[in-house]
Amino acid sequence: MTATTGASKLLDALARLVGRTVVVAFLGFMVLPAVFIGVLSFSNDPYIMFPPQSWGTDRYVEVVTSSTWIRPITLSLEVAAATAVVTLAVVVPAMFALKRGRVPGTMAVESAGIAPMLFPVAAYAVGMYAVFAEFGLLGTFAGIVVAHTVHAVPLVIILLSTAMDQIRPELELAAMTMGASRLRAWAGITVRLLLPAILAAAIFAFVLSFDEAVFITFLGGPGLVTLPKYIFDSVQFGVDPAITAVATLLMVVTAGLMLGATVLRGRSR
Amino acid sequence: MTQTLNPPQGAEMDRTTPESDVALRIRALRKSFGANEVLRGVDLDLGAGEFLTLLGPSGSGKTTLLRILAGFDTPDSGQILLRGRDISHLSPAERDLGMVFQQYALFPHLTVADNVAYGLKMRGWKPERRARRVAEMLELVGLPDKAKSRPQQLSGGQQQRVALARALAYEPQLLLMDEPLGALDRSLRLQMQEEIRRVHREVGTTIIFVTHDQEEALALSDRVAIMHEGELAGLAAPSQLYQNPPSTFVARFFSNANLVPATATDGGQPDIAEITAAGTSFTLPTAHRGEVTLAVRPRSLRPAVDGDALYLTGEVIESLLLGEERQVRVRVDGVGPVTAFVDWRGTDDLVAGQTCRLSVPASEITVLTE
Repeated sequence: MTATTGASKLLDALARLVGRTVVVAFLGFMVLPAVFIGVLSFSNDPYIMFPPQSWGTDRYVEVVTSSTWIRPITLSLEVAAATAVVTLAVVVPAMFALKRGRVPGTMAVESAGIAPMLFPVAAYAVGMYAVFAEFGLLGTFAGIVVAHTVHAVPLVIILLSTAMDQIRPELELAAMTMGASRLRAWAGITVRLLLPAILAAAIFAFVLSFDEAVFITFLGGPGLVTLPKYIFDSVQFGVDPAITAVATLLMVVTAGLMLGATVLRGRSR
Repeated sequence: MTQTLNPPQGAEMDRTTPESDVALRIRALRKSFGANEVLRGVDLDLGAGEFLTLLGPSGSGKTTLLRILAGFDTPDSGQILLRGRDISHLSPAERDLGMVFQQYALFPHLTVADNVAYGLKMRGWKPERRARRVAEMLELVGLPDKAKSRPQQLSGGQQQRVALARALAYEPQLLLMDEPLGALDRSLRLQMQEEIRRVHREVGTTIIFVTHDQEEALALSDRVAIMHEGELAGLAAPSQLYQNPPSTFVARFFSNANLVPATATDGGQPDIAEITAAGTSFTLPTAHRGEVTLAVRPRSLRPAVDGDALYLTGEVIESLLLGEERQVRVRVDGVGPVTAFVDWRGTDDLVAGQTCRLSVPASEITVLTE
């Protein structure tokens, strides 16, 4: 009896130790790079070194003032905003058609919409390159918004589809028996209840586009340089220390947005 | 008492109501989904202020009929007249009716008061008048203190009362209720039946109440319409349907009757037949001859009494004491298992394996031919 207890106690202790090690290692690899960059960004050293020799906010000042950084940041914000709007403009009406209309093959359409998620991005981008070349979309703002929209549609479909499944169609029917037209019932009841999910989806689409580096490399041409592309390019020719500030800003803003989206999604439940 | 209840379909059914009092008139309503004929010509008149229960097993077409009445589906052919106005092809919003759903369907983002006000808002009522009406309705359903609550904060029974108030607020000409008590537990269901009866008495709205629970139908309605395979299999006051079912389907579905095959032969008088069933012979007042079916309700059976008409003897398969009465299942040769509810006193020896002899008086037997 005592022997088994002793053995199981030992096993318990071992399991706990292994568990803790895994968690610490995991957190280390996840959190350390972020912390590392964060620390490095608050340095006024002329180039990146660790530990920093001097402290300050010069790098942030440079990012916000010099046009080299402002231009790609602005373009990225514009592309991301346009992507979010276009994606929702496509997916929200499609969702109503699929979930509330009598369209045959609903599942097939939904699966087709999610399909781009399954293709390797690089392979998909090559295909798009061929198509875009045909239609003269290479290196255009509209082109990159289209590519990012295709990229964002699957996730937005998944988000809105689950959210919509939780809104009972009877709510619309009830509104209609009480005198609301179908459109009014949709707008006043369904879209209203879907709003948190729609906002969350918009944030996800925005972040996906803002963060996207592959499509822009293939399709952006020389003229369109978004922030991720600019970071890639600048790393190739030597490291601008301001990258640490940009990376930190990116992480903080993205994390904030995603947190907001998660809260919104929770609220729509 | 009449025991000839096999007229041509519909003739015996109490479908007609004086013209002036007709609230809803349904004529030859048909609906198919693909090859599946869900409604095969339904005719029904509803008097103003009448409480009609639409009862039927799942797949009988009762839900489709309700959805067509509400305007969620369109009929293939036929007419629906609400107060003389053909509404068959109007949108739900134009029909002026109220609906209560099984899962309440309250708007979760609106307060109870705003839920009740929804239909009034759609009708353009001024805020002041609206507020007064909402207060009245919440008073009616006994929830005046819940106006500012969210639906999610209320219990199931309370939510359904809000749904009832919401559907009645704008005084619709017809209230449709789709299994409104289906999501509630039994004691709450009984309480809500009471509540619905009271509200119906007070507001006098014409109501169609869909359910698959015959006790609910018995307790609530002025008339019961029983649906079977897309047609009305019975339409009458609940007591009449219960005691004199028009068909074997209604007998079995509505009054849980045992069906006993029998032969009716002429005994010299036109209105009286010699009946042979389960090895016994007796006379019953009926004009039917030939193969017939006798419907016997479980509570009409009793341990054999001299002078009764039909005697059923067999082995007890199952015997359950349910408080004041005992449920006995007896396997009778040539009939099959028969269910009886008998007074529990002196039935201690009525256990599985024993032979049991039951009987029923002539007045409790209904002769059916279909």
